[in-house]
Amino acid sequence: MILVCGSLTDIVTELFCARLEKLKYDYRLIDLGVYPDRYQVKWTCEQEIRTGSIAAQGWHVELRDVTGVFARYVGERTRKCTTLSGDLSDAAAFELQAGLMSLWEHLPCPVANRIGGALSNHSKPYQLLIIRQTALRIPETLLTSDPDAARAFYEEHAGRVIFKSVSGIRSVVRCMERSDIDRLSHLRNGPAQFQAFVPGDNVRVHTVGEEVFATRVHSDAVDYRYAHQQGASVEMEPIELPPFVGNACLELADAMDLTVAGIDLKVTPEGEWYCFEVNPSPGFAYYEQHTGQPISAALAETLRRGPVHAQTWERSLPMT
Amino acid sequence: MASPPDHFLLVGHAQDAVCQMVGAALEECGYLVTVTSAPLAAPFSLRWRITNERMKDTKGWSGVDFDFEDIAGVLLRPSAGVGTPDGWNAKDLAYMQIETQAALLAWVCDLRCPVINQPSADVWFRPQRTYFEWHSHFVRCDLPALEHLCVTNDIGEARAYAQYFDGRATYAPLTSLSRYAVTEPHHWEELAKVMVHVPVCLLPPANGRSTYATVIGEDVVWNQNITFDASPMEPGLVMLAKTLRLDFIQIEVSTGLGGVYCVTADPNPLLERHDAGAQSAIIAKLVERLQSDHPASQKLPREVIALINRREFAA
Repeated sequence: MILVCGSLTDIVTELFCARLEKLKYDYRLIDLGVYPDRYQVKWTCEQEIRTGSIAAQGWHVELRDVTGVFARYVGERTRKCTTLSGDLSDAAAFELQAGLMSLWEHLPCPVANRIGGALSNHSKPYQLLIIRQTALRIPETLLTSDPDAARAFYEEHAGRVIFKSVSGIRSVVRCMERSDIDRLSHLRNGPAQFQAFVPGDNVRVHTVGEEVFATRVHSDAVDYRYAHQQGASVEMEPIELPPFVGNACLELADAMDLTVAGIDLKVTPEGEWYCFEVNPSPGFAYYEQHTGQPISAALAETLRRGPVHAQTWERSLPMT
Repeated sequence: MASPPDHFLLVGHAQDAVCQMVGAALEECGYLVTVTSAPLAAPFSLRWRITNERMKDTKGWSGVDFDFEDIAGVLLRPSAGVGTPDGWNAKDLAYMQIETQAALLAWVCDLRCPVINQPSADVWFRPQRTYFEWHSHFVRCDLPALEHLCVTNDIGEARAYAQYFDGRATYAPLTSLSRYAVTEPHHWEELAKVMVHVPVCLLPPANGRSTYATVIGEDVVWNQNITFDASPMEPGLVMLAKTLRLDFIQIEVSTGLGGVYCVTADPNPLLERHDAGAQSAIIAKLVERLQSDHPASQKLPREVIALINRREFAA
């Protein structure tokens, strides 16, 4: 039995549920939009033995029967208004999410993804420290709170510099322009991240367990996710990766304890492979719809198959 | 000419007792000490270049009167982050705090001087864990753990749970350290109202006051008035710190019908949980560790360790 924890207002969750339906795999949806109102949950820990169940109208699942979990936390905005207001409502949403994350963290089955492994994405420079241990290159990066250093970096790279958020907050990646230099004085309040622009095509890699799906993206936009808003076009095609690149992607996903990962690469005209970040909550629906790659089917199979090795609750504890 | 004394950077709030006492102890030893909660904002200046090879990185950072090369050790406390610039609105300030926290994590993880604590992303962004998570860690380290936990949004199940304890329980929200006794009928009524919105975590009723054990590297410090033999737990407590890759962690220990057990842990220990003797011992151990070149203080991110282990396994 697969548990899907998310909201059908999220296109990725919707696609994954549709895939499970099509494959006729058993699954149950914990709809975060109506959780916990329409569910009865109980999980206990007696000495070292953990048991529990989740039930809703017409179904009841024992946790020991769960073979895999797909979890996407799309924020409290998808949760319907409760009678609570303001801070109390936020606190309740936080408490709800903490309970579910904590439960998935220790289930002895594949979970896409556990929160512990996902948190490296909250610091992009932290991820760079990990990525550079692989065969992939990282763009030359400057983290600075010094306007002069940022200016010098801009000149050194002939104005071909991009900036983006340091944290996991989603931001539009864009090239720095000369007019931005006037705003560099704000850096004194805290550092920003600048990267040398890497020419070439974007390649998005999704890893699912030991499987790799790569998509080459042809676009003139700096951040192709927003290409249409910027009047640019996007074309995608599935590609085969050089083995060393595929292996590096699998290494990263494994090291970060990610059952599914979206890895952002760029291949230069000279054939060098750069890696920018590893996304623990990838929007694979977008790529699957454009290329037909069976990403959701691979994930469904991974979660249906269950643990590769027999695990107990305690052995499943991820290393922190 | 004599070289200037070593400089220690204490990243935390000036009112933090650990920062205050460690700072005073280091200064007494003749070291220079800077305490700040915002080391990546003015008057400090960060110029950190990350390249494909660690050896080619440049770690430019300077304070008012010192540079990166002068830092002999760093103590990192939970209040570390951004200052409170005047005139910022709440939204911008929150964004800047998140950005700075993200930068600070990476920066301290790449430092080669002793750092207490040099956390993983998981610990940095999620220092508080639920009772269930701590329970797993305790069991894995052969520590006695709280034995009966229950999370439910069914009032009938909650009452059934309490029957094991003569109708009493403790309500423990998962995202705070608060606990509430559930013993009287009106407590159950209130709990039922909470359960409409969130499943609740129930613990056995508290039998006594908690005490705390603080691990500093290989050492464990207890309050002087503990009433049980703590020594059998100490190897497990040190193992817990190693498992979490922390040099400094505090564990809440309680006593119940089954004996002594661990309840929760805190990667951001508070001195105030200890008596004066224990506080002095903790500060002395922290100062000693900051001055050492202990390899545990030059750790790589856990994900890098996992990469290395994977390759060794494959080989």
